[in-house]
Amino acid sequence: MSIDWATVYTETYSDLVRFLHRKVWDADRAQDLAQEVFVKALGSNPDNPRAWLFTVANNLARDEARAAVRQKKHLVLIKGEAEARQETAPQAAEEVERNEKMEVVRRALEMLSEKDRTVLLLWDAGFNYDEIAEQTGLSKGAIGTTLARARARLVEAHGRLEDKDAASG
Amino acid sequence: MPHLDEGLLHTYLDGALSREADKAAEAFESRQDVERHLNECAECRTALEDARQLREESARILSAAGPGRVSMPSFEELQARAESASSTLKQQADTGVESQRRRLLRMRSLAWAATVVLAATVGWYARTAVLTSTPDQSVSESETDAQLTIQIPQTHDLATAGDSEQQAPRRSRAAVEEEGLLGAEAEEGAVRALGERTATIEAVQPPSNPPADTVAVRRTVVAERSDALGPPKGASDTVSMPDIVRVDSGDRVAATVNQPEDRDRMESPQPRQVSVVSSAPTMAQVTGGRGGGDESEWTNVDKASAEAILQQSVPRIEGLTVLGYAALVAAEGRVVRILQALDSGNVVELLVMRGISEDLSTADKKRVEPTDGLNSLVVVRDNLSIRLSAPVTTDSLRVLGQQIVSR
Repeated sequence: MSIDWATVYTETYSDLVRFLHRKVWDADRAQDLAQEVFVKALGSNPDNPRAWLFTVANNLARDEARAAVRQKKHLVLIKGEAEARQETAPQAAEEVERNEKMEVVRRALEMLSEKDRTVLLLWDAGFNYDEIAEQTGLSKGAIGTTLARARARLVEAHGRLEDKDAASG
Repeated sequence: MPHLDEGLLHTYLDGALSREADKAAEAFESRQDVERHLNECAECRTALEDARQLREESARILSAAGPGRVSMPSFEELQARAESASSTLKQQADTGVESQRRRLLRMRSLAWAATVVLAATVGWYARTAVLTSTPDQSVSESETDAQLTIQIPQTHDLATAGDSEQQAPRRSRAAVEEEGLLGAEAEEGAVRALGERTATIEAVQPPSNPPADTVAVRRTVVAERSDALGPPKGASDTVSMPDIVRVDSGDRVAATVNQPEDRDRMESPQPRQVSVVSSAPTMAQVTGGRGGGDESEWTNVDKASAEAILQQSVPRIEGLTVLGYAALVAAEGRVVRILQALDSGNVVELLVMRGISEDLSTADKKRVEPTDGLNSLVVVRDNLSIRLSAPVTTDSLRVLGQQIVSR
């Protein structure tokens, strides 16, 4: 059975970018990775294209994270240079506020366990319970419980981080 | 029905509950069951409302961390990238194969070059080892290979000697044994054999007739194994001696020794070719100038004859191959000369003396002034005075002297 990749692309691309963005925390890089996933997909013929795409995307994001760890020292070195540019280049207040919010969310998500975070992000990416169960290996009945716990912890961690930032700032 | 747990409420809010309970899918509650309970239980309705707020709050939080505006390239553009990537991969694969083939060719060439260089290096070192093994550089290279120069008395009448050498039959140990000369009478027979100059040599008269007092015999001794296993056991003590003796001008006898023939050492691998240049002393030199031994001449003998002359076992340095024996009989005494291969290019000479001067025989160790680059040392073993000469240090000679055995 041939896959209508054009339709899959139209229906899945945005979800894939959003999913990848919560993995790599870089919008441009998330879009690059999403397109790379589809380029790989065009030469394949998986049974479940959507699940296949997110699996490949998850692997790419994981490799990206490992590469980011290796480049950490280099990023630290150029951090001062980037901050200097930020000081000289006027930034829109909205952009600054958005980045700050995104940083809080990233930190809040990092406080979740790997399983809770994955299930939550898959749900947020548009996966249904069956797909999440297939992707994570959890039973379908455990997805609701996992999602409930993940949502609660995310809201709690996010609120605690916002209070902490408000107190410090 | 008990209260609804939080997981079930979230599942209900997410629309993941089926209309009917599906036990196979571990969905034990249907949407209808949950809605029926919610209508009846106010506490669960409150919990449902809390779960709804939590769900909306988490969605809000996650939406705040979205990628923003997402630019979506056209599918055709994506296809073009996929085709380009595919062709690039194929090209890289082809390039990889080609580069690997070139690398293999280059490695093969390097391997050949390395082999040639290695062979040349080994050859160079081997040549250097052979060249440096000749101690006397004054002798031409063509002559230095396995030359042994033995001085003979200058008063020797070569014409007479040549005649006697030409006329004398070849004698061997077997011949001596046949004549019953071994044992008690062996010494006498051996001395007589020496006197009659019936040594195992052949002499070739030179075309010219040089003066008798200045003529020397250039003797080329070629000792070769008849086969890899050597001669029969019965001939183990017999040294195959000169094949060619050529009269030449000068006062020295040159002997070329190509093969060590000590059968006692045949088990261990020995150098195929040994060369040395050393001067055999005259009897006058051996005895310190006393007595009139000028008439005497060194003659190659076999081991049995040497033992008969010394009236006891011939001493030798243990562990070194014996290349040959020679004897000198004069009024002052009898001297046996033993040549042993020191290494691939050097020979140590042992002059074993009986009845030599009192000064020499009573000295336990006496240093002799070096001649022709050789060092010498005199040691006494078993009532024999043994002078060792070799192109090594005196300390090394002393060590060699400690390894002399008489068996």
